[in-house]
Amino acid sequence: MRKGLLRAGICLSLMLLPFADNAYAYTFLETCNGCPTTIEITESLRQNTYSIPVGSARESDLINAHNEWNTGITSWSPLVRSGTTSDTVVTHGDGQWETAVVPRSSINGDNGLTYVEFSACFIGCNSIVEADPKIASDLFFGNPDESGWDVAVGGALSARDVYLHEWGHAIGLDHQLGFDLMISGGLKPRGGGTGSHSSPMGDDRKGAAALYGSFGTYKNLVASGLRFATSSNTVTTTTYVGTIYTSGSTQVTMRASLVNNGTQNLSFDWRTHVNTCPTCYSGGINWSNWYGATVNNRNQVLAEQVVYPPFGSMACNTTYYTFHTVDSGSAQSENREFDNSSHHALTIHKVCI
Amino acid sequence: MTRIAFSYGETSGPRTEVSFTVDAVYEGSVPSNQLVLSVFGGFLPSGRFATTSHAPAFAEGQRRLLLLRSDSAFWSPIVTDYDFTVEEVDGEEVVLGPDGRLLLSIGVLGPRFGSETLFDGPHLEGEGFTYPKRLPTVPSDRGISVAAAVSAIRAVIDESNVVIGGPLGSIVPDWSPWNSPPVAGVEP
Repeated sequence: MRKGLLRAGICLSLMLLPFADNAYAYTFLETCNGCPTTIEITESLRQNTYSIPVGSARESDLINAHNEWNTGITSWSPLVRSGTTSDTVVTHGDGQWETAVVPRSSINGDNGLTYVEFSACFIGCNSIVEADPKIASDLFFGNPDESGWDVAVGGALSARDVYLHEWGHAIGLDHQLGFDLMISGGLKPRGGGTGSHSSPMGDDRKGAAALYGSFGTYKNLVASGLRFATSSNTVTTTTYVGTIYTSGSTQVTMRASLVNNGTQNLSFDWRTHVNTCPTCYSGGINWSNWYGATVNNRNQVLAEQVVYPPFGSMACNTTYYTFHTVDSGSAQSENREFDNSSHHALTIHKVCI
Repeated sequence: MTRIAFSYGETSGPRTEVSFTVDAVYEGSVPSNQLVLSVFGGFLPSGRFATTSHAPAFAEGQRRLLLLRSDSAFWSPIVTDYDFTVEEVDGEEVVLGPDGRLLLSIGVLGPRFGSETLFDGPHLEGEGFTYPKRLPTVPSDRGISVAAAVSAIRAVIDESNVVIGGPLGSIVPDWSPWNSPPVAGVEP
């Protein structure tokens, strides 16, 4: 046991790699005379119940998009889910805001597509007068794991991620390149914990605030099992995917995204641990602790450490899930605490002969 | 790109008609070197402007490197993510993505871009598109040439078992009228 702990102490190295703020800017769908185009009055997004039945998994994902975009983002809610229609088509250009699940072939083969209509742009600003977000019917509907690659629960991209993305378009945001929901194509960031894993990240909220004004004090840290890979400009796993079978001589590289999607700069600690179930977010066997990280508001860092797992404390011939937690000491009182711990796509099996 | 115009058709809806003079065809064929691509987006009879979240942006005078599709082209005749701009930076020809970053490579995960935004736009501004503005940023990566980009696209196509050829896709949708596409019911 001693030997294992000593190894962990000596080999621990940790880097915090802050991303430059200007690399993660938001953009707008349209501007008019230099003024970003926004929703002018609160609009109601009607639910197409033929494709999104009440009580279905599809509806749960739509409700999640509504709740996530309207939680702690704006001082008022520009778009709310309200009303229904049971049509077998979604009608564009009728002034009604409507959302539906549609055949992929009807949206260019994409995962989602939002029809948007703007008022005329003459003098001053204009507004979004209709938006109809649509998502492909063959996506997985549910709340996939934050490790991002659990094929059993829907693979790499879920309808929940796409709903949040298209909702962002409906309120006036365009694509951006970074660890944000509005990244085009591919996997979207996900947070950890016991609630919804899909949530707006730093610049998503920053873009919404730029469109709809200050959203007051919002304090939140998110641990994510995914990261932004600058080598491919994609959201990908933080670390190795799968199980490492080892008798104790294998170092592991742990990468973790620590996201501050609130309004204040925050200092916090970072803990990694292993445990025997994928939802064991607290407790377990301590792996490492690091103190003193500060992440600016609406930003994120990628933390990295190369370390031996805590073999001395792990049971023989047992598989352990790996986790990381921000603010494990609960020094910060956040608007939501459930997303502070995330499990990774890496599991470690201690082999004893 | 020589001209951008808006039109409206009863069967195809509001359209952005983009006229190109074709410099080179690297695979397949186009009907003429004076090519008009029709993308969803433009003015409705009401005077409002309609578009989609994934509509490409254009600016007159731009040079583009495009992968076109021969299946349905109602929303766009351009394959998503394979739409590049060719610009000159410090006397050198470079290939850029839609958000003004250098194209570094194209692989199985799609195009990969540099971290700095070199050009702002084009983007939708009122009744038209802004011409991309060169920003005072210095690229930390070296982009690939047009020839290298074409080779990389060819390689991706070969790996995907996609066959190049056929006419441009139709802008008339499979449903009618254009503004009432179907939804997908839940299978029992």
